[in-house]
Amino acid sequence: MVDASETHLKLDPDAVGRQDADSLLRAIQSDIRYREVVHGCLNCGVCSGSCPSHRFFDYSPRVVVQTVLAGDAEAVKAMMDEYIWACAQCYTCAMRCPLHNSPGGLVMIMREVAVWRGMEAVHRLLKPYGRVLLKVLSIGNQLTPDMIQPDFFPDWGPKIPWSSTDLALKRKAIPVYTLQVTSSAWRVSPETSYELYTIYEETGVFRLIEQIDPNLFEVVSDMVEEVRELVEAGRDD
Amino acid sequence: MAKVMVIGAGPAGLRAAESLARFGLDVLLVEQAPYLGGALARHRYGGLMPYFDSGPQVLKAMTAVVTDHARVTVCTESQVGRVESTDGGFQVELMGQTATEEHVQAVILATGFTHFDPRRDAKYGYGLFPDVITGAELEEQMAAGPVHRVSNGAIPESVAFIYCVGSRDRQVGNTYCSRVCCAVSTKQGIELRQQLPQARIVMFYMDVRTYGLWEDQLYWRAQEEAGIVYVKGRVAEITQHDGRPLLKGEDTLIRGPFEWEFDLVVLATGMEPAAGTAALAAKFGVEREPHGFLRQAKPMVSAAITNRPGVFVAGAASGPKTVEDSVMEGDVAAMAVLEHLGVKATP
Repeated sequence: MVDASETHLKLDPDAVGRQDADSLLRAIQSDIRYREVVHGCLNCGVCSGSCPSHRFFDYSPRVVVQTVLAGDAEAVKAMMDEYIWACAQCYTCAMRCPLHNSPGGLVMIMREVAVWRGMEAVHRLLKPYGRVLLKVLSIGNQLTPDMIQPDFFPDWGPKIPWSSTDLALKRKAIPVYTLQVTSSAWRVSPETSYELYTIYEETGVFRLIEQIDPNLFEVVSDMVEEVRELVEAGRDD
Repeated sequence: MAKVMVIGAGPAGLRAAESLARFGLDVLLVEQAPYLGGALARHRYGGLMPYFDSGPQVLKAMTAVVTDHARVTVCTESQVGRVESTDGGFQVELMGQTATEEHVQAVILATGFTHFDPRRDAKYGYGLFPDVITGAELEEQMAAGPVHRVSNGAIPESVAFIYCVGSRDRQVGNTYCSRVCCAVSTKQGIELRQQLPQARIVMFYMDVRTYGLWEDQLYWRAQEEAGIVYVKGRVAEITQHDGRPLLKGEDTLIRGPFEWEFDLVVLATGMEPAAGTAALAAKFGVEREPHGFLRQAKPMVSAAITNRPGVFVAGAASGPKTVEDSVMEGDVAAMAVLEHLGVKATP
């Protein structure tokens, strides 16, 4: 029997930081989606044969499925450190598996567990996404106009320097009131952020961030305090 | 004397008709095609696994008996129309070449199978790339002359076989194993080696099911005598490169990812219930099992018994089967009919 409290979908704040191999495997196998993404495995290799990452990396969706099915918790934990992050989530494997497994779906569950448990790999893997994380945490947007800067997108070609200038003016070309902003994707009210922070707090997201990136958490904390004061002051009026 | 209708003149139906006639019953052998022999004749199978019997000779022997026997009436290009049950059997309307009404005491359904159409599994590019053919088409090629590439008529220097096409796959709706394709492909590989002494011949499999006595007769022989290579991995997709099929997949045991060009690719397509099986089952009130084949109601008693008294089944109509098993079931069905009719041996 699987203990319901192990189901990471409940986003149990107490589970943040738990990294013993058995509890990680239990979290994966008790996920509500698990029975839909893994039925069995014929070891036929059609998933790996279809997999763009398998072609270029030491990564095989078949091996992921087999390792989880074998119940080798330590091996599964080891995979969560780097191996599974080569998946491009294209789901060609799911399209071809003769048993209707979804190895890509299994990897998604494993990644979510890895993030939720604040595994070492996640610190490393989320580093390049610091700016995105800050935006998501503060206003719920991922990308904003002022993030488009040549330094951050060297591979985006020669137009990027031009795109990063006169942002406010260029935004005016989009005649929508809520889009006349550059530091967010659209106008986000302090009330919206206020609600977001409540959700992050209740679900343990803030606790997770505190664990995997203390510096980011400090920045976010100041912001949260500021917005809360602002909103609550407005309510008192 | 009692009259029995046998529907389908493949190996099972031919054998059932022959046995019943020899026991002194009148037989109406109904076949929708203009020829006798079923899939064996349709695809002109040259050699039959596992013993490499000559297909045409086996076919000739099977058909000669029924066409020569006074008690067998052969109705080719004929189909079953309306069916009514009567006190002692069935009133059956025949349409087509033989348009008539017949009263029969028992019926044997031997409607056989059709090959899976690989157009339904787009990853193999069948129908798109000319050098991707089916195993049945390879038999037709071997019967007609030297095996060649369809694209340009050249003799192939490399041939790949892909197992389990249309079998063991939820994606195409067939979750069963078609039982014979591993052995048939292996047989074809051995035959092909005679024609192509220098060619690279590779079998792509997920399991090799040359069960029982076929293990050394076919599987080992293919490797030891014919130099055929077996690679474990279901081919994920076929594209075309420089006019040749390019196979992409994972060698799950040794080499990992591969992209491998071949001159000719043979798809070992599985078996599905023949097109008319469902309609006939409905007309005779016979149940089908979950895969769509006719359900054997008492397989531990007799392979021929259906849920409907007086209606029996033989051959691949009840599931994928070899020629020899189909022939055997023809006899099983004939025996079940004799038992049903209470026929006794008299001195």
